[in-house]
Amino acid sequence: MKKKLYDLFDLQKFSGNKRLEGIIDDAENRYGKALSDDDLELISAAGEPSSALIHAKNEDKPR
Amino acid sequence: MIETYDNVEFKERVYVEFKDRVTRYVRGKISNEHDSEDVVSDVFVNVFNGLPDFDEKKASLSTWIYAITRNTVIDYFRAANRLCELPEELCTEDDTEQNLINSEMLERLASALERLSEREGDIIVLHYYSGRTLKDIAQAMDISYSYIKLLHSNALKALRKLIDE
Repeated sequence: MKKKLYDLFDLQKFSGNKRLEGIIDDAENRYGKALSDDDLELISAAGEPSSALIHAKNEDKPR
Repeated sequence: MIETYDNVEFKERVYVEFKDRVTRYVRGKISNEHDSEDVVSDVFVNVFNGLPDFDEKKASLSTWIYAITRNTVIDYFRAANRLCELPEELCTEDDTEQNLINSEMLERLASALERLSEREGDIIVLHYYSGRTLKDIAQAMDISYSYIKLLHSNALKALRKLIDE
């Protein structure tokens, strides 16, 4: 079952099933999304988010 | 009339329709930008070379291209002798189960997840899709590690029943 779940979610990353996407977004919104590699590149060595990341995150906020 | 997929117009359509999806998938597996660009090119070479043999009765075009993309990424890790870096979801000793995976099963997974409790569904998504450890998820949910292991085990049992029924 574990293998099947890894495989199905891997296919989801390619196919983007809308219904599943909604379920994933809900779960990630409830418990915070892991930072992507792109986000991590925008964090300074001191662990502070750079202004580019702050700007990008602010743009994501609903008005 | 037998439809042929091995023509320039169809190849162009395939490239336009799938380029972003293939690129996003490959970049999600291979962090080196230069290598990921090479792998995306390899995927389309493999897709175009395979088009004469594509049979839509066996798999949809999307599922077929996904399988080629996945195998090309695995080949990259093999060729670079980096099997130890192969993402867990690509580690497979037997591709039989992989061959049975198709887009329709994503609908079945969505239905099954909707029938779990919200917390159990979230654990499955955060662990198997987002790649977070059970320890990390337990912390985020403010529950103990032993309790999350129990919830995870219950969720797997329920999913096995719901997906395979």
